[in-house]
Amino acid sequence: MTGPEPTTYTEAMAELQQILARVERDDADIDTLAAQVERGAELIEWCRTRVERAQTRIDEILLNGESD
Amino acid sequence: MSDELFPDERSSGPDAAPVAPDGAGPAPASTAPMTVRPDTWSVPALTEHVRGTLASTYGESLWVEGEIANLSRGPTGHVYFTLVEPGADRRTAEHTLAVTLFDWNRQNVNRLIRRSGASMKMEDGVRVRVRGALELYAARSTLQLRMTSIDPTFTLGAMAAERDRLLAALGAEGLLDANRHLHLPFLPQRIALITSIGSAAHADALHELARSVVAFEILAIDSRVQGVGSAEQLCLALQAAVELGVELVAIVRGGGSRTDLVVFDHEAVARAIAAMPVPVLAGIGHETDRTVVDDVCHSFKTPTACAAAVVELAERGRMALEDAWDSIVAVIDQRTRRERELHHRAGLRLGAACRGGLVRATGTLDRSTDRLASASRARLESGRSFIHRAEATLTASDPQRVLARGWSITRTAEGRIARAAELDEGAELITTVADGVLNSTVNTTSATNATNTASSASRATSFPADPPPASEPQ
Repeated sequence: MTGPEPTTYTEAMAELQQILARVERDDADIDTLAAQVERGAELIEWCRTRVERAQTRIDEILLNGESD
Repeated sequence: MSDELFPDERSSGPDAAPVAPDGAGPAPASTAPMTVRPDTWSVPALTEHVRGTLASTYGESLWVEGEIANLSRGPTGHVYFTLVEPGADRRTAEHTLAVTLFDWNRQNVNRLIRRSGASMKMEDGVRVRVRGALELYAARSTLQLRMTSIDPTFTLGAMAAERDRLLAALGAEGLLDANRHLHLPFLPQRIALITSIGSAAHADALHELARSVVAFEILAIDSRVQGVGSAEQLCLALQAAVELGVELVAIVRGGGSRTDLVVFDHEAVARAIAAMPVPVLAGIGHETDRTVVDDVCHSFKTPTACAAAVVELAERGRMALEDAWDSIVAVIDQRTRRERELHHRAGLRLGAACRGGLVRATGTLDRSTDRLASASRARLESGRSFIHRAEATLTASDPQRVLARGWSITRTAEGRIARAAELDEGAELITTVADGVLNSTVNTTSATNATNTASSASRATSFPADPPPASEPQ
């Protein structure tokens, strides 16, 4: 990752929101734009992985519960 | 079982004392011993005198009542016993009377018993009223009754009276129902079977108990069930059953004469049963027999019926247990199904909630991606647009582009933009064109509509410094 790995989903989302706010400004800094977009994409991917993992685990748990 | 008072059993027991048959009596001793003083009896004289006194006092015969003890039968058919009057403890007897029943009298006695229809058998412990001659047996100096007859109804009546007395006493003490008030075991597992081991009653009971689907432990306790010592043995057997920790006691004994069953009218036995801490079931005799024991415990008609009751008790317990188990299974099943349904619904809610949350999170991330992409694209586009505009502006302002289209820039030697009104003839001019610089000299000037007469090949041109002129090259 281009920055420190988030420790929690909430932390990742907070950083992502900050990046979105920055890049959505009209006078966003072009010099750092690519870096911010890259960091934002990384955070999104990280969060997606977390969501997918949670989904998989929940499906497993609920499936096991059904079969008991 | 024989109804005879004294069955013809000649295989055991001591033989009779040497008494002459049927009143003949021993031969009298000499009545005038030579050495006896006038104030002293000789033994024969005394014996003879006593014999005479007995005869004159009691006559040829008399009725005597008492309880039979130490009965024995001789090989010749004679029967010997002692009539006793038991003490209060029923173990000791202070008064006894020897009785002899010769074989020929025995047959007469048996005829009387048969004729009376009484179901009785003479043996130890049976109370009788007998008739006979009171005699002195000189050889042993003993008094004895030479029995000739019997009153059968007395025995039965005495037994009935004793039974009534005992029942009344037990009833007054509240002992009649004491054992019946004990709870029968729900599912008996350990049972004492008190009986004469090896008897038909024992076999019948075992055969019936073997029918049981429920397996239980049967502890057979041997006991005499009639005759000498039977009451004591029954009491000991009951005590042994308690010590063995049984849950139930069954006492069985086959049928017999009324006197055969007399032990079951015995007070000690009845009290022992009443004091038992576990239920006692009794199957004694035939269906018509009724003893005191039957009144102090759970009574059944026969040994087989008694054993059948135990089997039925166990079967009822087993059925109740199975019913209870079925109920438990049904309740558990119902509860489990309900719980499973609750869990299922909770799982569905949980799943829906989780999936909803995850879908929202995914949506947020999708929108974030879009926002990130569109914002960065927009920002880049705006940057590009600005640059493009700047570039266009700059491009439009570049003089080189004007020169390339044929325009030129003419300056004075001093570097100022040449103006016709300011130039004189002969002035040196420097003209910049697209591909170089031309030097020329002014021939004529004209302030308006000036005609370039310069000798150079260049064309005098004037145009604004910024922005570039829109005029076409001349």
